[in-house]
Amino acid sequence: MTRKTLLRTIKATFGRYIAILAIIALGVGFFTGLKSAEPAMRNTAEDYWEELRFYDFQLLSTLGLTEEDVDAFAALDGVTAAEGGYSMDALAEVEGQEETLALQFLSLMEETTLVELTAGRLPENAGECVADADTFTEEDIGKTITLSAANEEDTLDTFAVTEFTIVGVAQSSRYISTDRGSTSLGSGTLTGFVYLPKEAFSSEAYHEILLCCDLPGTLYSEEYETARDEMEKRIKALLEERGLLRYTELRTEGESELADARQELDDGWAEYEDGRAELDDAAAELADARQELDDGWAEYEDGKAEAEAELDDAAAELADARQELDDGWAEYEDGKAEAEALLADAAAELADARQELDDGWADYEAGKAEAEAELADAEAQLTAAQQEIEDALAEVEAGEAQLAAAQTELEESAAQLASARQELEENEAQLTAARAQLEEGQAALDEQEATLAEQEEQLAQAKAATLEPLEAAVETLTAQAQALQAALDALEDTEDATELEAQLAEVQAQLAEAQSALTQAEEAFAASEAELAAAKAQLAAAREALAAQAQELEAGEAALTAGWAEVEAGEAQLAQAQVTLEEESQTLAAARAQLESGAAALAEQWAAYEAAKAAAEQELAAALAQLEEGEAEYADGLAEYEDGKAEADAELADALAQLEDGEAEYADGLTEYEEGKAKAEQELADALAELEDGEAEYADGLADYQEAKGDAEQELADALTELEDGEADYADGVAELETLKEPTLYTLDRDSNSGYVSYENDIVIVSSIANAFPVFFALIAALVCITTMTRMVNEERTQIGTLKALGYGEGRVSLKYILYAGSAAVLGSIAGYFLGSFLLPQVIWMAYAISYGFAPLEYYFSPAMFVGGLLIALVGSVAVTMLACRREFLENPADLIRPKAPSGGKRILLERFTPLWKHLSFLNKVTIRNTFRYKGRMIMMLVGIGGCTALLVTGYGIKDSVANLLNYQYDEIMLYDGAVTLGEDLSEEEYAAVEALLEGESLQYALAYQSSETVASADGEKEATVIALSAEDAQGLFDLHDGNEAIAWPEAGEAVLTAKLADKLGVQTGDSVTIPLTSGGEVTVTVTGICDNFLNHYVYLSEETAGEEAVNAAYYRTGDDDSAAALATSLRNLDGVTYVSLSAEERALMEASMSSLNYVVLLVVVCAGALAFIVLYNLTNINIMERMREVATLKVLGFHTGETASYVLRENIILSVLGGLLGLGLGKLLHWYVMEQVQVDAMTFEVRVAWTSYLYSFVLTVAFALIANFSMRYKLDRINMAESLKSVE
Amino acid sequence: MERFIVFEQVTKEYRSGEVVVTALKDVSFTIAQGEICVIVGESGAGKTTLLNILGGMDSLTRGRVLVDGAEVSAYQKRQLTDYRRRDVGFVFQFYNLIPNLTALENVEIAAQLCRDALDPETVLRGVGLGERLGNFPAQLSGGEQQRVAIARALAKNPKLLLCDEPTGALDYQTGKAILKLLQDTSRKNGMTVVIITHNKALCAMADRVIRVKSGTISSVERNAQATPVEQIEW
Repeated sequence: MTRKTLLRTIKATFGRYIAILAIIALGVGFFTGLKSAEPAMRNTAEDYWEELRFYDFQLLSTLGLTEEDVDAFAALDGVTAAEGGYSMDALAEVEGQEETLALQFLSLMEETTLVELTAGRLPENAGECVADADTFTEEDIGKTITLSAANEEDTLDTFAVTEFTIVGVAQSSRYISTDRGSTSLGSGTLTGFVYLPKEAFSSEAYHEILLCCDLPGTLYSEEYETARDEMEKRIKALLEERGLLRYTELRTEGESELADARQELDDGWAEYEDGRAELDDAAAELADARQELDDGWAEYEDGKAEAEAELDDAAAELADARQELDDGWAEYEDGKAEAEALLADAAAELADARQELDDGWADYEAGKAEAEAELADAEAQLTAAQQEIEDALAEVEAGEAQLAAAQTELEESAAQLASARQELEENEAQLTAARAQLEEGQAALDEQEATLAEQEEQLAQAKAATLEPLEAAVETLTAQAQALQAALDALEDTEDATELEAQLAEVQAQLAEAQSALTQAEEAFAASEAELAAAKAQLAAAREALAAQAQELEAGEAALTAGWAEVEAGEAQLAQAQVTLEEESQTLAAARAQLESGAAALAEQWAAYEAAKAAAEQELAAALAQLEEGEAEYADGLAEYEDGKAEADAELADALAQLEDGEAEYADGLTEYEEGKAKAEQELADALAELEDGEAEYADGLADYQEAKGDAEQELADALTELEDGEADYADGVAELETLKEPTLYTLDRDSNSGYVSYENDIVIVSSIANAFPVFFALIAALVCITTMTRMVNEERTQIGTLKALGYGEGRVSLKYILYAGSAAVLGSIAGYFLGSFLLPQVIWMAYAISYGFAPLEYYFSPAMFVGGLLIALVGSVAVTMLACRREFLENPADLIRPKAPSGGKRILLERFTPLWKHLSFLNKVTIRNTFRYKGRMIMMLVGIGGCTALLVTGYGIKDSVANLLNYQYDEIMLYDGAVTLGEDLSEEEYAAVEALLEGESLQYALAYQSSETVASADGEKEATVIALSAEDAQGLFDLHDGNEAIAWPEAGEAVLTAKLADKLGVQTGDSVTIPLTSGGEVTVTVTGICDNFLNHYVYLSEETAGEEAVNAAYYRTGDDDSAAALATSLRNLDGVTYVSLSAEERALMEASMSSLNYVVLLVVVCAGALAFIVLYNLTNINIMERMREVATLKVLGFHTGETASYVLRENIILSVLGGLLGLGLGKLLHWYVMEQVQVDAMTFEVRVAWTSYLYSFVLTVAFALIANFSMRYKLDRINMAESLKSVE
Repeated sequence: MERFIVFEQVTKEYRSGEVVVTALKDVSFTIAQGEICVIVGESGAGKTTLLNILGGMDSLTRGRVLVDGAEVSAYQKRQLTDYRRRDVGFVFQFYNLIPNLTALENVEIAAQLCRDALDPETVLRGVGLGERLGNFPAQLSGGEQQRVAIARALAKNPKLLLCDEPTGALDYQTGKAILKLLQDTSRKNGMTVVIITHNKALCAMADRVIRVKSGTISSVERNAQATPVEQIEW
C-alpha cells in the first residue's frame, strides 16, 4: 500500500522529485568532487613517481662523482638505490628543423628516476636516444639530433657520440610540469630533454648521483619531509668525505700525468729537427736538371728559325707565279669578253638594218596604195565639176530669153502713159479759168457786205441819239406826275391842291407830247431797218450761189489731182520694171562670165591632174629602186659578220691553251714546295718532342720533390703545433693542478625540483577551494529540501487527515513522505557522489593539464566520503520531512481534512507610513504585501540567491587576488629585469668583463651577494633567499615597502624580512634572526622592517653584513624585456657567468601556471548558475502552485498574460535583487575565508575583490533569476481558469 | 433588446486521448437584456460548461455565441481576456477573493482594470459592507465574502453578471440575502444576470428559465410574473 502510493506520488510529482534528487546530487557531487580532487591529484603524482622511482636526493659536485662514490652511497643505510648519471645542456639541431635548440642531455638511469616511454623504444646503442614527449612527437622517431658545432669544446668533449637517432619519445619523472628550466645556452630556456645511454657520454666522472631512499610518509607529507631532512644530514656528511677524497685523488693523478707529458714533449722536439735537414738535399738536384733543359730549348729555337726563312722564300716564288697566271687568266677573260661584245654589236647592227629594210618595204607599199586612191578621187571630182558647169550654162541661156520678152512689154506701158498725160494737161487749163471767175465774184460780194455794215452802223447811232433823250424825258415826267399826285392826295386843303392840280396838268400835257414825239421817232427807224434787212437777204443769196460754184471747182480739181497721181505711179512702176530688168540682165551676164571662167579652171585642173599622176608613178618607181639597193647592202653586212666571228673564236682558243700550260707548270712548283715544307716541319717536331720529354721528366722530378717537401713541411708544422699545443696543455695542466681546489658539493632534495614544488602549490589551492565551497552547496540543498517537503506535506494534508481519521498511525502516514524524501536523497547521493568524483576532479585536472600533463588522473573514491555524504543527505532530508509531518500531526484530523486556510492577509509595517504607501501603485502594494506574506520562503529565497551571488563573488575574487600578485611582485617590488649568478672565484678579468658588459648595456646594475639560506629565529627556521647589497645600489632595483610606507634599506647588522617569512618565523621589527652565510659564517641581525612580498621569501641585508668579498651575483635593469633578454644572452656567453634569470620569463611561467585558475573559477560560476536556477525554479514553482486559485481568479478578472506574470513574478525579481545584494556581502566574507585557506608557502595572496567582480556576480545572478522566471511564465499561461476555480482541491 | 445573448447550435466536446465526451450538444437559446435568467439542471448536465463558454473562459467546438451583437465564439485569446475584463462580471461558489487583499482592495483590483469602473467604496456600501472595507477575507463571514465577490463583479460595470451556484456554500438565510441582492441589482440597474444552480426553487425568481439535461436544452420558459426572492421558500 505504502509502496504503491509512494510510486504513484513520485510519478505524479516527478518534477519535484527530480528537483530534490538533483539538488542533493549537486550538493553531494560538489562536495565529494572537490574533496576528492586533491587526493586524486596527489595520488596520481605519487604513483607516477613511485613507479618511475623518482629520486629523493640529487648529489652534485664541482669535481664530478665517481663509481666509487656511487658504491659508497649505495652502501649507506636507508639508501635503496644509487646511480651515477650525466647531465649536460647543449645546443643541437634536429633533422627537419631550422633552428638550433637548447636541449638537456641526460643519461638513462636504470635504478632510479626512470623515463616513461610514450612511443617507440629505449636506445640500444650510443647512437640512439629517447626524446622529450612534450617537445617531440611520435612522428619525430627516426629523425636525428646532431650536436651543434656552436657548442663549446668542453661541452662536446663530454659526448662520445655527436649524432643520435630518436628511437622513442618519453616523459621524465624529473619534469612533471611543462617547465624545462633554464640554461646558460641560447635563449636561456631549455626546449626539452634527450635521454642517452650512458655510453654516449665520454666524461670520466659522473655529473650527478641520484639516490632513492627508504622514507616513510606520502607525497608532500610532514612525515616524509621530517624523515628526509634526517636522511639529508647523513648524506651530506658522506658527500663531504667523498668530495675530499676525490680532490686528493685528482691531485695525485694530475701530477704524475704532468711528468709523463714533459718527457713526451722533449722526444718530440728532437724528432722534429731531423726531418728539417732531409728536405734541403732534394732541392739542389732539381736545380741542375733545370739548366740542361734550358740549353736544349735555345738550340731548338735557332733551327726552327732557319727552316722557317727558307720555306718563306719558296713560298714567295710560288706566290709570284701564281700572280702571273692569275693575270693571264684575267687578260684572257677580258679579250674574250671584248670579242664577244664586238660580235654582239655587229649582230645588233645587222638586226637594225634588217628592221629598217622591212619598214621601207612597208612604207613603199602603203605610199603606192595611197597615191592610187588619191588619183582616182581627183578624177571623179573633176568629172563632176564639168557636168555642173554645163548645167549652169543652159540655165543662163533660158534667163536671157525671158528678159527679152519683158523689155517689149515695158515699152508698150510707156506709150500708154504718155497719152494719159496729154489729157490731164487739157483739164488743168479749164480749171484754172473757172477759178479766176470765182474769185472775181467773191470780191464783189465782200464789197457789198462792207457797205451794208456801214449803213447799219449809222442807223444804230441815229436811233440811240434820238430815242434816249426822249425816253429819259418820259421817265422824268412820269416821276413828276406821280410825285404831284402823291402830294395832291396828301393835301386836303384846296388852295394848294389847285396849284398842284395845275402843275399836274401841265406836266401831264408835257408828257403826252413827249410820248408822241417818241412814237414818231420809232416809226421812222423801223422803216429804215426793214430796207436794210432786204439788202442783206439779197447779198446772202448771191453768196450762196458763189459757194456752189466753188464746190464744183474743187471737185474738178480733186479729179485732176487723182489723175496726175495715177500717171505718176504708172511712170514710177515703169521705171522700176526697167531697173529690175536691167539688173537681171546684168546677173545673167555675170553668171555667164563665171561659168566661162569655171570651165577654164576645170580645164586647168585636168591638166594638173594628169601631171600629178605622172609624178606619183615616177616617185614609186624611185622608192622601189632604193629598197632593192638596201637589200643588197644588208646581205653584204651579214656575210662580213660571219667572217669576223669565226676569226675571234680561233684567237680565244689559242689564248686558253697557253694559259692551261701555265697552270700545269705552277702546280708542279707547288707540289715541290709542299714536300720541302713537310720535311722541315718533321725535323722541327722531332726536336720539340725531345725537348718536351726532357721537360716532363723535369716536372716529374719537381713534383716529386714538392710533394715530398709539402708533406714533410706539413709533418713538421704539425709536429711543431703538436709540440706547442703539448707545451700549452702542459702549462694548462700545471696551472690547473695549481688551481685544483676542494669541490663544492650539493645535496639537493625534491624541493629543488620545480615541478615538485609547483605541483604542491596547486594541490594546496585546489584543496582550499574544496574546503570552502561545498558547505554552501550542502546548506542550499538542505534549504531546497525543507521547502519542497514542507510544501508536499501541506498539499497532501487532506490525505494525511483522511488517513489519520481512518486510524493510521503517525508513523505509517509519515512513512510515505520519509520514503519519498529518503529515496531521493539516496539516489541523489549516489548519483552525485559518482558524477562528482569523476567529473569535478577531471575538470580540474583538465584545467591543470596546461601545466602538468604527465599522467591520466587517478580517480579517488573515498568510501568514508560516500557514506558520509549519503548519511548527511539521508538524515537531513528525513529529518526535514519528519519535521514537516510533525507540524501537521499537531492539528486534529478534522482540521486536517479541511484545506489549510491560506495564510491570511496581513498589514505590513510599511503601511504604517501612510504617505509612502499611498503613493505606491496598486500592483506594487500587492507585490510588497505578498513578498512578506510567506516569510519562510522569503528567507529561503534570499539565502539561495545570496549564496549564488556569494559563490560568484568568491570565484571572481580568487581570480582578482591572484591576478595582481605578479604585477605587484615584478612591477612594484622586484624592479630589476635580470639577475646574474656569477661563478665562484672569478678572476679579475672575468669580473671586469661582466662589469663592462653590464655598464654598457644596462640602465642600472649592481653587484650583490645572493644565496639560499636557512634563516633561524627564536621560534623556528625557514629557507629563504638572502640578498645583500648597498642601499645606494638597491635604489631602483628593489623597492621595499609595507603598504604605501617605504622601508629603509638595512644598515650593517640589520635585516628586512618579507612579511610571510617574518610571520612563519614569528618575528617582528626589533627581533633578531640568525643567518648562516655561505660566504662568512653565521651572522645575527636585527629585523628593522617587514616588507610586502608576494612570491618566495627574502631576507635583505646590507653589503657590509655579507662581507665585501662576497659578491656572487648581479642585478640589472634595462627598461624593456627585449633588451634585457639580449643582455642575458650576452652575459651567458661570458666565462664568469653561470646563470642569468629574467624577470619577464619567470613571470610568464607563473602566469601560465595561474591560468589554470580561470578554469576553476569557470567551474564555480557554472555550478553557481545551476544552483541559482534550481533554487529559483523550485521556489517559484511552489509559489505558483500554492497560489493557483489566486492566479486563476486574476485571469478570470481579465488580467493579461503579462500582467498576471508581473503580479506573481515581480516579488521574485525583488527577492532576487535583494538576495543578490545580500550575496555581495556574503561573497566578500566567503572570499576572505577561502583566501585564508589557500596557504601556499611561496605565495602571498592579496585578499581583494575588484568592483567589476561584484558587478559580474550581481548581473549574472539577476540574469539567472530572470531566466528562471521567464520559464515560469509559460507555466502561468497554462493554468486552466475553469478547473482551478471549480472546487477546493 | 430581446436577443442580448444568443446561443446558436453550440456544441462542446472534450477530447482526452481516444475518448470524446460531449458536454453540450446543439444548444440554442436567447436571453434578453435586463433579464434574470436561471439555468437549472442536474450536476454534470453541462451548466458550468455553458457558463464557462458564455464567460469567455472556455472555447467551443461548434456553433456561435453572440453577446450584445458581438460574436464571442470567434474571439482570440487576447480578445477573450478583454471580453472578461470589460463585459463580464463573475460570482463564484467559493468567492475566490484574494486573501492578501482587503475587501476594498479586492474590489479595487477589479475596478482598476476597467475604464468606466464604478467607485469601489460606493459599490461596497451598496452591498452593505460599508463598515468592513479594511477587513481581509479571512476576517469576513461567507455571506460577506460573497457580497465582496458580487461587489467586485459589479464594480467593473459589466454588461452581464454570471453567477455559478452563488449560494452553494451559504446557509439558507444568507443565500436568500445574496439572491435578493442579485435580483435588486438587476431590477435597479437593468443588468442581465445569469444564475446557474441545481436548486429548482430559484426558478421562481427568474424572468427566463432554461433547463439543461445531459448537455441539451430540455426547455426554455418565459416567466411573466417573477416572484420576489423574499417570497420564495425552499
